[in-house]
Amino acid sequence: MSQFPIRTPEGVVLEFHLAGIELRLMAFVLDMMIVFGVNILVGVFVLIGIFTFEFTGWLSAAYMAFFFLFRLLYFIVLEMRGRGQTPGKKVMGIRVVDSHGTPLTGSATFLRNVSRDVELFLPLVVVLAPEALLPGAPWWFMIFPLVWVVLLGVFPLFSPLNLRPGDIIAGTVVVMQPRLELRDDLFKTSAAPAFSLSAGQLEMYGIQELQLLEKILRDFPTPQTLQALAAKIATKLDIPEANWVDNPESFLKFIYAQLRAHHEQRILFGDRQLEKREGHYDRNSDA
Amino acid sequence: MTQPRSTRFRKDRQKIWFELEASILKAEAEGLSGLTPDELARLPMLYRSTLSALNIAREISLDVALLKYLESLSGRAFIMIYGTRKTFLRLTWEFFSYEFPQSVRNASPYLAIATLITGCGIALAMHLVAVDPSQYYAFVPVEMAGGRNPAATTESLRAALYDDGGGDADSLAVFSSFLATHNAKIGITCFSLGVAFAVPVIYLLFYNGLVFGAFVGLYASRGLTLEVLAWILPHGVTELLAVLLCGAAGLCLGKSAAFPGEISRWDNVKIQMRRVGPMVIGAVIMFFIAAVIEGFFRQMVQSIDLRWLVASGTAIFWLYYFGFVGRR
Repeated sequence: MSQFPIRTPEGVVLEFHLAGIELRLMAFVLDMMIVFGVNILVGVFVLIGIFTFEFTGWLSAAYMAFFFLFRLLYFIVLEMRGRGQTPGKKVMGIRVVDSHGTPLTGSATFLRNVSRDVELFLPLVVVLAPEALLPGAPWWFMIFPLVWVVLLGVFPLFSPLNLRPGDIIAGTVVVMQPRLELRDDLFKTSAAPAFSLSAGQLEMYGIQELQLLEKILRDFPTPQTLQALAAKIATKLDIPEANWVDNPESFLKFIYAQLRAHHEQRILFGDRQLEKREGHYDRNSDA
Repeated sequence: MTQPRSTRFRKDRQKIWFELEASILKAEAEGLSGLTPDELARLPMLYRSTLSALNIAREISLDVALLKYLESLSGRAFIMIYGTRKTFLRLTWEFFSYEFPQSVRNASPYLAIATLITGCGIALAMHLVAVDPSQYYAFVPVEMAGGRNPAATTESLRAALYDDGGGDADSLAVFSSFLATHNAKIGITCFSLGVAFAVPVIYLLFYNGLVFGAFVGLYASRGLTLEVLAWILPHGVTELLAVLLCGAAGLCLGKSAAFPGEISRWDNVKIQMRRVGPMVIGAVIMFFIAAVIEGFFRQMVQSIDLRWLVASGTAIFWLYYFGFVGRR
């Protein structure tokens, strides 16, 4: 999942996650199902109207216009009302934002939705009825638009960030709806200290290892993993086995809390140690 | 045991974050109008505090869970506060009263070039048809001509200009909504093919001019120039203008793709697309207007004077609109 930074007007850069092609396609399919559902429903009424009241011409003209306009307006109006979310996008948990961090404008919404018509339906027209696109051209001239249109169709697969042309034209991106979940501070649940660690021991590990440890404690806390990890850390830091073997989890949480407190203290002074040190901690060389 | 700074930081501040989270969730479900005036008034303060907390946390905290939460919360609040705040109607009004005419004014050099290319096509075809009427077939596909060809008598050509479409208002309605979607697609094609260094756009514009010129040339050779113009121009002013706008947008994109200047080709195309975008949207709407005039008005009104009135009326309207509306 690739990141997409957006600078807010306050000057803070927020990292959003781009929504993948599959999610966007699924959302579009959902939306189109709604659109077609409504069109069929209205179509039934139009047919009833045609057969009962003989309004043939006006009604079918209105229906043709409706068919075209409803699809466009559905996406445009709902995307604007839903702050970048049509119902389909809402279900898939994605939304459209302006790539420059400014409010989504009406023309951006309009462009990205009108352009989808060209991206999806133009390839169909070219393949089925080439005459409609460039009337009167010699047959070989069709090669150029054909290549161009095929490129347009597969464009999102190869474009930077998998954007489709409509998003590029409109200057928008589709991002994942950020999930709101504040997980407990691991520090709170860590046990009381059974022993203390020196700065030399704590500096054997850097920030990367600290955050990896957090991830393991939160997401993969199986007994085997914790056991193996505790053993590895104890060896590196030269900690006696008696200190961790009874309860590897509370030992690891203790290590985590100590590492975090120590490194957070250090970064206040601009001292960011990202990576671990090689080898083992040596009690004798630590002054 | 030392408490990490970020733990204290989180304890002190999280009340504000949770309050913001509650407001955001409520506003997402019910809209901003679902918030009480008090909640609404506190929203900007909560948002800024959270953003500033994010900034601080990035500096002092190594707690990934905290960073992720603040990042997500700021993101959600950012979308809520800086998403579309205006209503659909308001945005529509701004588009017509400012964005559209302004983007046309910005692209006026390209509009002039597009006009020139189309003009060349018209002049060439008119000349060729005047010299040899059978050249007409080279420009106008048979199925498009609908019996209006050099083999027809002057009388039947004249009759076609006053034809009511051979049907009642019902068939005109179907015809006009068909035309609208067709023309709109041509216009967007013209625009989207522009990135290919504008070559297809130049072709489309020139070809459009040739068809138009051949058609007018045929009538001109029978001394029906004014009458054919009265037939075409009521909707033709709007339609030709819309084609020219799409063409100008395509040329502008083609130029930016071919000669990007100091920034990268890709960036330049993106910037230009934003600039000409409103013009293309406006052109699509103009195609609709033209189709309505063509489908209903042209075949229902037979008076030459009225046709000229509408033609010059639309011309003056567009001149005024693009020339003066929304100047700031």
